[in-house]
Amino acid sequence: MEVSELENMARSAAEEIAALSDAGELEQHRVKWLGGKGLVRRARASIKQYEGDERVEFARRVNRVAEDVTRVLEAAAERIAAEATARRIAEDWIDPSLPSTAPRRGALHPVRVVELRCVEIMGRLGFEQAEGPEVETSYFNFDALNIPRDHPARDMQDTFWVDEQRLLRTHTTSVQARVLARAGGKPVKVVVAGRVYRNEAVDATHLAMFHQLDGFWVDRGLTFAHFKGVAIHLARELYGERRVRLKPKSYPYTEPSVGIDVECGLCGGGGCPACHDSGWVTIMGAGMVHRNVLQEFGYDPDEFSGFAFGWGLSRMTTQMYGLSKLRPIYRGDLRLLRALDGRPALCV
Amino acid sequence: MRVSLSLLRHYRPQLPASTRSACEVLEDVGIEVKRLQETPRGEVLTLELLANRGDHHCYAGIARELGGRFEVPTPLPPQATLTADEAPAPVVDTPTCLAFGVARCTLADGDGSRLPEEWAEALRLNDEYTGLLAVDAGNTVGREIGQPLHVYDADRLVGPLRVRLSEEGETARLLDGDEPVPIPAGLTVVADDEGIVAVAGVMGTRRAAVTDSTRHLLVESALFDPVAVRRAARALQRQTAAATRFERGADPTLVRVGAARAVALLDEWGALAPDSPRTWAESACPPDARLAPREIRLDLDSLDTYYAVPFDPAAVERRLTCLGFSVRKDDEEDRVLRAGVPGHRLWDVFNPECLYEEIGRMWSFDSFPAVLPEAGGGKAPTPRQRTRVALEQVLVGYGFFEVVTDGFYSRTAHERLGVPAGSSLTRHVELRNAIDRNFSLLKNNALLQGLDIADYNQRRSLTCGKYFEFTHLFEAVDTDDHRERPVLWGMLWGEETYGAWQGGGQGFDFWYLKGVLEEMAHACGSRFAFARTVDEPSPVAELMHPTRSAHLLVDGRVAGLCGEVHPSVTANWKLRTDRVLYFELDWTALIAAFGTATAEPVDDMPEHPLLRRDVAFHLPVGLTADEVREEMEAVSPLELAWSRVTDLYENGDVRAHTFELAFENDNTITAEQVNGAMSAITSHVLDAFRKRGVYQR
Repeated sequence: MEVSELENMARSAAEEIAALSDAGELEQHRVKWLGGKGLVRRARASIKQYEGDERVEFARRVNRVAEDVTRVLEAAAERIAAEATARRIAEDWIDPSLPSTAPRRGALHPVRVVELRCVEIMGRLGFEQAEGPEVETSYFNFDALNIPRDHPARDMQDTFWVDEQRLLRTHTTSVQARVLARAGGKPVKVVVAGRVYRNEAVDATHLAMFHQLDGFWVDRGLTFAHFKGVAIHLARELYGERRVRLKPKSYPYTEPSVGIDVECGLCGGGGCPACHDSGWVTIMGAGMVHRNVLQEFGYDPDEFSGFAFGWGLSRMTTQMYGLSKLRPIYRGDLRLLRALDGRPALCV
Repeated sequence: MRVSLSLLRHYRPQLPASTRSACEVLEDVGIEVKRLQETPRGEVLTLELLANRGDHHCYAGIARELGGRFEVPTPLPPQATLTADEAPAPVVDTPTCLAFGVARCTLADGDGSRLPEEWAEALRLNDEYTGLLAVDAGNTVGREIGQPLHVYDADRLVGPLRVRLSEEGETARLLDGDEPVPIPAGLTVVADDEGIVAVAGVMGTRRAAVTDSTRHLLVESALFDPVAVRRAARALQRQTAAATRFERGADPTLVRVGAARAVALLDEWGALAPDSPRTWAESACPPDARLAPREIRLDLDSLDTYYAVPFDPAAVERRLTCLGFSVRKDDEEDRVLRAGVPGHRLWDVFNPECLYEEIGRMWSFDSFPAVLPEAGGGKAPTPRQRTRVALEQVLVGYGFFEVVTDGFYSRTAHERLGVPAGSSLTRHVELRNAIDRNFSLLKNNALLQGLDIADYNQRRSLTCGKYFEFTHLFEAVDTDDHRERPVLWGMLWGEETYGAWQGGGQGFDFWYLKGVLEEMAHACGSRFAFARTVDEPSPVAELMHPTRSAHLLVDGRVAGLCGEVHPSVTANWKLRTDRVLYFELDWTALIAAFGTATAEPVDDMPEHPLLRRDVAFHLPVGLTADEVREEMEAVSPLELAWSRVTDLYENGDVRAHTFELAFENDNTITAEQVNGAMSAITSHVLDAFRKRGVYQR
């Protein structure tokens, strides 16, 4: 083999290999150039045609050609692999905007979400959750709570009657009476949440069944100042740092009785349709437990005192979720329940 | 009650000039302003009054309440001097009349007199303006000082008045109608010789009513028992201003004052004849202990502690006095006041807390400090709470939404279920006075409302529904007894489409629901047994698919059921999905297990992999896989970690179950031993069940 042929061979190898784009062809070219019967091997076999310095020089050139071809092949292999990877990546591209395949979780009912939030806050203050029946006796629903027969307050709570003695509870305060009845004159600190019923026509904002929450604490030495401390703490935990006011109310089972208002979250107290231009939103009714109620269950009102507070969980839910109507959340509309899930509470 | 703000300012000039500030003061003392209206004749406030405060139903009463805040007394308006009537006073024959008297006067001829416009407007605001001056004078007194009056045309009365209870069969043509109305027996009425002329405290009748031609007036001023008036108003379904006032307890000291004020107003308006009599005849009524004067002890130290502020005793005395209380220092105890209860508060002030409330309102509850008491540690959730939360987490994790349904439904709705005759589901706790027939029956099952929700959502094109509810069911035990039981129910239908584009997504069947229920039990540290038959099945079982449903047992006790709803039931809702899955569970059965869970030591995980083998048997209909598994586990010569069904091939009569058995492996067990164990197990199963048609596949 002549020197010129060797140089042509090296040039051809570089050109041919550079043009390759397939790993298989590259392997064929590796065999062609560097294989047992390859051209480099043939060039090495030609070394013995030369003598002396020419032989040394030719051998050096052959080695250089072998190194060049090897380097070109390695570079090509690297390039082809990179091209293949790039092609694979291009082919494997996924559209991350396509829907997921994992099932979506459901959600608790918004009223339950609010209930859990309230119960959790009150649990931190040591209130234990209690429950009671929905079909209640008139004693626990009314009489024991200082609402005797023919009391005007009974009109305010249109009642579903089963018979002379049994009714659908009109408030969760009936559970307060049951807890006090079995407390044996000992201190109690309880939160109650549940369904209540009113025998009235249903419209967008009135339902015959809705949810309430009651809390009460009976112990020695509790004062109005303590009650106010707890009430304001609850209001702030639930509605954030807003102005709170207490205004006089009248409930048969508490005295004094107050309503707790918080500053309207929408208008900041300036007045808007949501708060009927008052700047305030009523969030709960409350007061000191009436001495007649304490006496009814064997507590000495000169030794024991207590306070109670309650609110419409349903109403609070509509406030917190920014809903104008109550009825839709009780329809079992799965579209609405999904829409509300995860929606941040507004705390109107 | 709607009041004219300008007229209120006349009675309480200290009200702030700013309307908004005036409203704030009103609300702060307990008179809630529900609405403020600008009218051509001034600003009108719609007030929501406290339920126990009848004395707030008049301008002077509101003014007096504000007087306590401003420390200004509120004197009564001028009254006519009434002389004793020579005629005998009306007879009171019932203890439901606590005070009764009549004033006599005569109207002048002609129509020169008229009601002042401010009062005409004030009466119009509450639909009390009649255009008859004598009647309007009585209504004005009611709105001004809170004493309801009734004015008769004396010439139309026959014989003396008598206050008595109505008798069976009596009727009366009430002022708001033309037809005679039956008056139920036992109501307090005012009558003359010819019958009822007024239902006491509620409404007069047409027979003795004042007309344009009336000259001689008899002005009735009385105090009726609140409960008696309330019963009458409810019986006649007439909630008049007088009834509203009497029901809350009227003021015995205003009985004569009210009549005298009416005469004074008529005189002031120029309506009385120059020779009009001005007399008063008061009936003798039995004494009533509720009207007896009383004093309440007010310990000023206790008051300071109650509100956590030091009160100025003189200020307490002043403000209570302005509210009408007669206050004096206790003769013996320092720092103790004695507060005599005024007539207008006899019905609602009884004890020191009542006075605390008065003082709280006069100082404003907002002015007192808030003191957070020592609350001790927080309260851990009860086992019941923890159980419910655990169940909720599982269900929500599986994609269920919590729903809330009513506690009742209508009879028509219930008929849709197609409950078999004789089923206990046909018995309900019934509501006797529901104003809507949709509320007539307390629900004894949740299936009906679950299907209603399916219907509601499918009509809105939803193709998949998974939802649950914690609720109560009510079972009628007999006519005067019932059982209320907490229930967790759930329903699912349709097909989950998540990942359908990737070959995912699935419909629901019994096995899916079973998996959800098993996870629920597991989350509570318990297990369900799924039984095809039980001794006391739930009545809902009759509405479920005969084969694709099962009863749920916890610790051998029936706790619910699950499976497909019977197609004949779902057909009544015309649902778009073929298959509806439902479960109903007494979830409280899981509480005990949850509550007693103890921390047991956990064995080390096996170092070597379990040795697994498969074997397939044909199991005929009626033989459950669990029965076979129990036999396998009982006879296995090697320790079995578990066994389970991994495949079910059904073709014609063939029902081939592939069981996978996993043997414990301590690295000394040989393949021959495992194969031997499999042979022994297989032989035993075939021996045990061959007669029932089991063979190996």
